[in-house]
This record gives sequence, C-alpha cells and structure tokens, in this order.
Amino acid sequence: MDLASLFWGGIVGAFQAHNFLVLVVGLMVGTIAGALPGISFVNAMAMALPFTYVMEPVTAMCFLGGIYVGGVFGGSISSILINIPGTPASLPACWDGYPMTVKGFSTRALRIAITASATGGFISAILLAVASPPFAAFALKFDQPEFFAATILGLASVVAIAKDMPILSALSMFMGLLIGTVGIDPMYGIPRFTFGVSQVESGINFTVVMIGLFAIGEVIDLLVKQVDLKRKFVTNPGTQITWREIWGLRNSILRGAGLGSMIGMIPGAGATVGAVLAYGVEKQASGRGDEFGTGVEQALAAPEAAKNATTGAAMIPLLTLGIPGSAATAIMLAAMLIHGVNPGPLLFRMDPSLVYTIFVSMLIANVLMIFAAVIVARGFSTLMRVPPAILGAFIIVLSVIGAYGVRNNIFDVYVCLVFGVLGFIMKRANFPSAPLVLGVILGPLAERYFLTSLANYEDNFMIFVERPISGTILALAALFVLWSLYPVIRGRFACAHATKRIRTSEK
Amino acid sequence: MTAKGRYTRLIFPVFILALCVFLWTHIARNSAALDAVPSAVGPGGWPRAMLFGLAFFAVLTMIIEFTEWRQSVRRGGDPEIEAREKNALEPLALAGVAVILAYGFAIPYLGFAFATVLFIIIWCVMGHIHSRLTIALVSILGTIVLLYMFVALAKMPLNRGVEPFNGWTISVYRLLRIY
Repeated sequence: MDLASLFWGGIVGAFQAHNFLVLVVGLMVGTIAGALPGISFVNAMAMALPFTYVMEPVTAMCFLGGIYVGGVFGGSISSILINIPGTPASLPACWDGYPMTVKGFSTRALRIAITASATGGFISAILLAVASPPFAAFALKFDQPEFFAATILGLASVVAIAKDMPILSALSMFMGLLIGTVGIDPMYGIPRFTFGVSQVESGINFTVVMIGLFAIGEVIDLLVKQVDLKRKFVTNPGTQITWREIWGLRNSILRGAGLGSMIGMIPGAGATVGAVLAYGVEKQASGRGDEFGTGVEQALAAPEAAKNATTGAAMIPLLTLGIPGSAATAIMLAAMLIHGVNPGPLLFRMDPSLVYTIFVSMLIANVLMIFAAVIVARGFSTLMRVPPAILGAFIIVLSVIGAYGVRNNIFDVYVCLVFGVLGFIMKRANFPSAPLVLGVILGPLAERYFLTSLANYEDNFMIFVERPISGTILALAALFVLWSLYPVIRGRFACAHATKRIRTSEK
Repeated sequence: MTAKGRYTRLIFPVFILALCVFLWTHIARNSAALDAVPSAVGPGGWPRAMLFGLAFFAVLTMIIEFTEWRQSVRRGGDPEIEAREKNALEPLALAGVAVILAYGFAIPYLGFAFATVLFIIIWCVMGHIHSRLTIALVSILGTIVLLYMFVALAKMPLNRGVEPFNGWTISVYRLLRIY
C-alpha cells in the first residue's frame, strides 16, 4: 500500500464519528486536568485507562492522545492566570506569562501560549508521521541484542536526563527493575519473589504501579495543601494580540518547536526538560535575556512551543520500538497491550491503519487544542470553584476502578494502594517516581531480550558489543550515563578540594 | 529540603539496603531450582544483578545524604523551616493515607457501591466541605454515575461485597436497572 492511501486511511479513521468525538472529549479532559493544579495530565491519563477497556484500540489511542496533547498545554492556563503551574512543564509560563497577567495582558499571554503550543505540537505530529515509518523500517533489522541495547539506552537516558539527581533516579529505576522481576520468570517458569502468594505469580502489572504512584500520591498532597485557588485569580483580560504580532514571534516558536521535537524523542526527557531548555536557549538567542522574567513574549512562546513539540516526538520510540520514554507514553503502551496491540516495527506492517490513524489524530488534536484551550481558559474561574477534596475523592475512586479493571482482580487494587502510599512518601522525600515506573515497564523487556539474545547466540556475552548497531547503542547509553554523572563527580572533587584548602588556611 | 524530608531520604536507602540483603537469599522458595538450570545466567541471574544495582545505588545515596545532612547540621538549623514543619498538616496526610487504604480493603466486604459512598463522604469531610447537602449529592450521585459507567456500560464485574452488602448492592443495581 502506498503512503498516500495509508494517510487517506488514517484521515478516514480519525474522522470516524466515534474516534473524532472521543478525541475531542480527551482534549477537553486533558486541558481541564492540566489546568487544575495538583492534577497532572498523567493522572488524567491513568484515570482514563479504565474507560479505554471498552473502546477499540484506535479509539482508545485517540482518547489518550487527546488527553496527552490537551494536558501538556492545559498546565499553562493556571501558570499564566494564577501563577501556579498545572504541570511541571508549565513552570516557564509562570516566569513570563504571569508577569504579563499582572501587567493586564492575560488574554495576550494566553493567545501567545495557545498559538505557540499548537504550532509546536503540530510540527511534532508531522515529525511523528514523517520519521516513524522509515525508523520502523530500519528497526526491522533489529534482532534481540539490538532491542536489548535500545531498552538499556532508554533506561540510561532516564537517569541521564535527571541531571540534578542522577543517583536518586538510578535508585528509583533499580527499584522499578527489581519490581519488574516479581512473578514467574519468562524463560524457565520459576516463581521469583512470590513468597508463596499465588496472585503475585503473574507479576506486578505496571499499569497498577503507575496509577498508584501518580494518582494516589498526588491526591493526598492535594488534601493536605488545601490551596485556595479562587483567591489567586486575576480577572483583568487586557488587550488582544494581532496575528501580525504573533507572526513576529515565529523565530522563537520555531526554535522552541525544533528543540522540543529533538528532546521529545529522547526517552525520559519529556515536556519539562524541553520547556526549561527552550527557555534557556531563548534567553541567549532572543537578545533580550536581561528582561526575561518580567513578561517577555519570546520567553513565553519558545517554551510553550517546545512543551507541546515533545508530544508527537515522544511517540516515535513508543510506536517504532515499543519503548515508552515517559509516563504518558507508558500509559499509552498499557492501553495498547490491554487491547492486544504490540507496538514495534512489525506494527507498521501488521496494522498500518491503526498507526496512520494515530498520526492523523495527533495532527487533528493539535489543531483542536486551540478551541479546547480557549473554552477551558474562559471557564477557568468556574473551574477553580470545584473544591479540591471533591476532585481528589473521584481521582481515588477512578484509580481504584482503573487498577481493578486491569485484570478484574482485587489484589491489583491492594498493590495500587501500596504503591500510592509509596508514591506519597517518595513525593514528600523528593525522590523521583517516574524512573521507578519506567524501570517496572522496561525491566521485563530488558530481561527477555537479554535472555533470548544469550539463548540465540550460545551464551556469548560479547554479542551485545560485537554487533555494530547494538554496540553503538550501548556506547551511546554509556556516554549518557557518564555525561550525567560528570557534574556529581566534579562537584564532589571540588567540594573535597575546597574543604582541604579551608583546613590548610585555618592551620 | 526540610529536616524531616532529609531524615526520610536517609532512612529510605537504609531500608532498601536491608531489603536487598534479605531478598538476595529469597529470590525463589526453592533456591536449588535457580542453580539447577543449565544456562549462563539462569532465572536468578537477572534479579541478582538488579539487587546488586539497587544495593549499590542505595549505598551511594546513603553516603550523599549523610554528607549533606552533616553539612546542614554544621550550618545550624533553619528556624523558618522548623516553624513550617510545626505547621505542616502531617496528621491529615496520615489520615488521608489511612482512609484510602481502608477504602481499598473495605471493597471486598462492603462492595464497591457502599464503600465508595462512604469513602467520598469521609474524604469530603476531611477536605473541610461543611455543606451536608453537597456531601450527600456528591457521594450518592457520583457513585450512581460511576455505577452506570462501569457496571452498565463497561460491564465491569465490580465487587458486591459479602452478605448483607451483596444483597443490598443487588437491590441498588435493580433500582438503577443495571442488574
């Protein structure tokens, strides 16, 4: 089948009434969830999982894709209007978006943010549609060692991206990897870490872990903080922005979109890293670095474009290799696996209509996001009246249903609650929880690829470095880890040197 | 970072390390089965590697956290942080955790419908919602909507609990015409 007919099939699929409707609902849900401080789009996606059980795989992906795209932007509404980032990725919008609101330019700031985000997201969706098929074709050359190396690269980049806390991220990731070994081993059928509990033999489902860590931990925080959001709301909408003025910001938007698309492809990086990096780059490139933080339009446009540009790009490793790079794409993976769809290079051959419908849906989602964002921004003051306790109660209930619905098993609810408590403790102690989730997801994959590689290549451990593609990928992973550890090692040496110097001078 | 947070960050890796030591000898119920497999790695190889990695990073974390703690103690306590800690609503957080756990463990006994109504009422009261009408409407209507979505539409076999809650839940389902 040629490319044009595949795309046409995707367009037909995405515009089918139920798919389109679900995409719009997903966008609204995601934008609202993103705009509500304390509820991230990842929470919303985790809560939306049980709803996808009754959907067709393609409809489920439209729904989750809508929440993802809407949610990544939604956080900027609360950042700009009340100076509370709805999601961590919206932090740069607080730095220059809220000062614009204080100056009486809230509508202007929102329009810039919406246009930049939609443009960034659209460019990223085009990249997803254009780059995925050739990458998937290349990935068909992969054998087990290459898949193992790609999984290791995913794990290494999770640690490497957390430059401020690589050791803690590694600790969290290894916890996830260990949790991933629980249950009957995939090659020999021997139960591990089950302690005689029969329900544990089928392993700990990563969806359940994810729902517990992301949803329940957040809700307890929401209950404790009791933030009065209504008081922070500034109602002066101010002057509008013209299309000509938005056109003047095109360089900032394109810079942000380009950077976001590149960052999005790296597993573990995500929207937050993309937005913060784009802010830093824009500070240098715009020539107005000294004014940043006072309500500079370029400083708002670039990170907004970068943030949404990570959405499409993050789906490239998911669809082509079956490796999720973030919590959001991990939830998408869960939804696909629940429906018996295995993402990877073969998916492009086996079910191209699904793949191309996802591409087109992502393109449509970024256009429709403009309308969803405008509606949510207008109704934001009403939204702020919903007490956090009511929101929290329903998040918990939906999380419990979501965990139960994975295998219709009450044991999964208990596991989810235990991980919820763990998530709360980790949040309080400032331990990163995302690496744990990725460890639980990628761990069993890595083990399976590792063991099958050894079985296929006569227990030759060198096979991973001898094969050119897997060797290159593993070298890249090693570079990533060294790059992330360098500041820690340098910091320790500098600290030791300074202490020695002080002691010498005291003598 | 508050002193309590730092304490948790120090205790956490110590606990992880102890757990690793325990799990090293408890990978499988029958340890002999692990070594009986003729393979270079076997079923125990990967978990052992993960345990080793976890223990290694737990030790590294302990060293870093302990060093930073000592440095912060040398600098002296921060009175602002101490005051903030006193005002922190920790008992509410613990109560929240307890209520969530109780909700999960109550479902097999009370059934999803009754446990959910009860949970929403308690959670709203803990969240300082004073209007009884709001609490009643949110808990009852919210649960009805959820039952329609998941029992009627998604055909999910949500737990009905033990008697007499099982019978009561069936009555509710019949009333809602979803049974």
